[in-house]
Amino acid sequence: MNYFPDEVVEHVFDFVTSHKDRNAISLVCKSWYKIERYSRQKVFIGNCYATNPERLLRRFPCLKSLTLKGKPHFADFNLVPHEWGGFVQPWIEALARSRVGLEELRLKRMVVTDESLELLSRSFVNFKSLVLVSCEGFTTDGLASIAANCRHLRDLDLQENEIDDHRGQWLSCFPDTCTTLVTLNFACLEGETNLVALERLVARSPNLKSLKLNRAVPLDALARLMSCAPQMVDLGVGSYENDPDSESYLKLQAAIKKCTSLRSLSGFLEAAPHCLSAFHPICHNLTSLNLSYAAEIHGSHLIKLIQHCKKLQRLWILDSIGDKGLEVVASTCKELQELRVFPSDLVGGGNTAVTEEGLVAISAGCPKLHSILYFCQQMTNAALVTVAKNCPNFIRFRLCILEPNKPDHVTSQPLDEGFGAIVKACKNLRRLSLSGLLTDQVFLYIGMYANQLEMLSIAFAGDTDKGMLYVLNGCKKMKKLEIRDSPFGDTALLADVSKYETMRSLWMSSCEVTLSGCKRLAEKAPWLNVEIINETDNNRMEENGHEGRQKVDKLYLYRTVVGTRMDAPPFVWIL
Amino acid sequence: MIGSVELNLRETELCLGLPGGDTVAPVTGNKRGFSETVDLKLNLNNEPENKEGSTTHGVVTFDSKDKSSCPKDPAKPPAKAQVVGWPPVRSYRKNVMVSCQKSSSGPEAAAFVKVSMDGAPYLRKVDLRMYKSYDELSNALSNMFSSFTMGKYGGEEGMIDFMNERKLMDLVNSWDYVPSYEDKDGDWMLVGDVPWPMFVDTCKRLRLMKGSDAIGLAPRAMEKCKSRA
Repeated sequence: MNYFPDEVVEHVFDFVTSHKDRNAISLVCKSWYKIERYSRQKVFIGNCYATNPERLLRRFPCLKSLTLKGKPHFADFNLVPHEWGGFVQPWIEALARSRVGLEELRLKRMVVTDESLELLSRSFVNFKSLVLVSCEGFTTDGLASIAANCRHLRDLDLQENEIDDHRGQWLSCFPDTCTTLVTLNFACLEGETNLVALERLVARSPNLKSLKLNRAVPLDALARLMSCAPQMVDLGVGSYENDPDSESYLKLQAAIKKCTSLRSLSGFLEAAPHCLSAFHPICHNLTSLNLSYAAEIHGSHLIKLIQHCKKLQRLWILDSIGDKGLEVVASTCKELQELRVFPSDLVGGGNTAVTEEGLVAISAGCPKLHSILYFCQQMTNAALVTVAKNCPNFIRFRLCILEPNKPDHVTSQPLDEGFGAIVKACKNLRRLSLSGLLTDQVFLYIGMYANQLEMLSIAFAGDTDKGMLYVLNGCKKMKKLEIRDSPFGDTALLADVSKYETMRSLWMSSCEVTLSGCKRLAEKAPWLNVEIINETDNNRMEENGHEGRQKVDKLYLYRTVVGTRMDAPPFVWIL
Repeated sequence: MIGSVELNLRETELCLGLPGGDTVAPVTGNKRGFSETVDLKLNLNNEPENKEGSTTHGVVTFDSKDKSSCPKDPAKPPAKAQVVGWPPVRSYRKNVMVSCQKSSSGPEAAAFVKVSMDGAPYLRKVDLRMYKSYDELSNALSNMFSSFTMGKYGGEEGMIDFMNERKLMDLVNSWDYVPSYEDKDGDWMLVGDVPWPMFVDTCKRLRLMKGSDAIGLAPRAMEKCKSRA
């Protein structure tokens, strides 16, 4: 089989970087499996409980980069109790003991402690890159260890984490010899920032390309920072309130003009809208714009800015832009690939800022659009059919109609036909989120047409078990299925147990599955962890005479090669 | 006690409603009426129905199948019963929005704060903007933590009545819980001193402290209580 020496094969494998492809390579034959595992440097683990650190290290001893994901997606919306799990500590301990040359660690929805960060910072001499997304459990003290001990730190990227800000001096913990920073993102920190330490750090980091500040960095500091980092590519602005005539504003204008490499802009957490014009000179270079936190900038100012952004590929915005604003986007941003429109009114006061018209306009104007997340008040089947016709290239389509169960607002029909049109037209659709009034019919369409679908999010939808069955039987590539508040029960859950071996996970909350159904599933599938998250008194489930028929509040099941996890809290019952 | 102290008593009273408002009813004796105190009901006798519909003033409903829930109290304006985790927006984003929108007009966004209860295995999060008074909040909290025992006292007696001196003495020894919160300055305060809107703006975190831990917070209240005896 092997005409070439192992080293040559390995060299060929070096060009194969995607995880899927590498996994496929390792299945070809024993020899390739062996070569592949010794040469694999980057490992992606989508569910930290699907395996354990020991198995990881046994198979990939030359590991340099690890990506781990912990809590299920619905944890983002407070559906998973805080102590559920996803602790990174055992992973870092095992990696430290094994003396593997870890350089990069990327974590999502995991519990990270200061202790973990300290151990991480001391255990790996060549550690370069730390990316934490939606994590929690640590403070700025942990960041101080990273800053102080990681001599070759390149990236410190903190995205939307819950960090206890001890208002300490973590920024001053970067030694004067640290000049290797490329990415520094601390936008999610709430407290004050040592501006002097920050400015010194930026001044001695010639490779700094991405800088995202928190709201405690005022305009004059921003001006100085940009002046000493004209090579900036990705900027997150913190606080932006000011008086446009002041000296700092003029300095900022001058600094911005010099940042000819700037391609990505975000932040504006506290923004004085009329100052956005300072950025107009560089807008024609921007490929990414995130104004989704800029609650104080109203439609007209957003539109003025966007009119200059002809090369935009990615836009994250609030629905305050309105349908009219989206029409401007559609006519200006012909390169647009990804759009996210977030709700500015979260209490649901009936503020109809964007409707189906905005979505249709975008689909008509932006031929390269492939990913969309759209929060709106109303939708129609006709609009979705038009969108499907205009944009058959969707890879990700997430529509969230704010009011659960809302029908087509013109015909009062369910939105089955609209979503059906989307899945039928978009042959490459990998991710779909549904909303509005939906019957079993939409799931029939999804099962029939969504052949590439990997992730499906369902809320307040469907009529009977048939709905869920259509999806499980039809979507061959399904990896993550998450369902809430839908009438799917044991029949659907148990119909094809072997299906779950092909999926990463299934989440069902406030559905019709019962405890006995879950128990039967656990018996049939010992290679699954079937977790019942029960926030009421766990003992009640046992003692209650009708225990079998009792509905399960939250079910989370996932395939695993290492059996029941040992770190589950008492309210998580693993069957 | 000296009469001159009693004259100022009304202002210094540990009043758990809006200060100086005419909603404060005259106090008879030491025990206040339910509507005027923040009584943390942590009793197991909460009927299961409380979890499903919003039987009291727009309490967060956990049974989101109850789509058409409406408060059974007709006197209150229909509170919008919010579904947990809907719309699907990260709580991080919700929190950022509320701090940005402080000065702008228009409907307010969420103010999520963590709630911890001493001895409970996990924390919860509540959106303070969903409640209009300390009352509503205490109902929601008691629903959330109702699975944990509250100690020696069952039923009505489980309520913490700040103006009841006997109760305050028992706080020291009992398992009763005292609601405290961390404000913007990082100080731990007793819930109920400030007007509700101010509380929502300044509260960063809630903690239901065990009575014995609340000694640092309670004595002030105890002294006021004694002075009224």
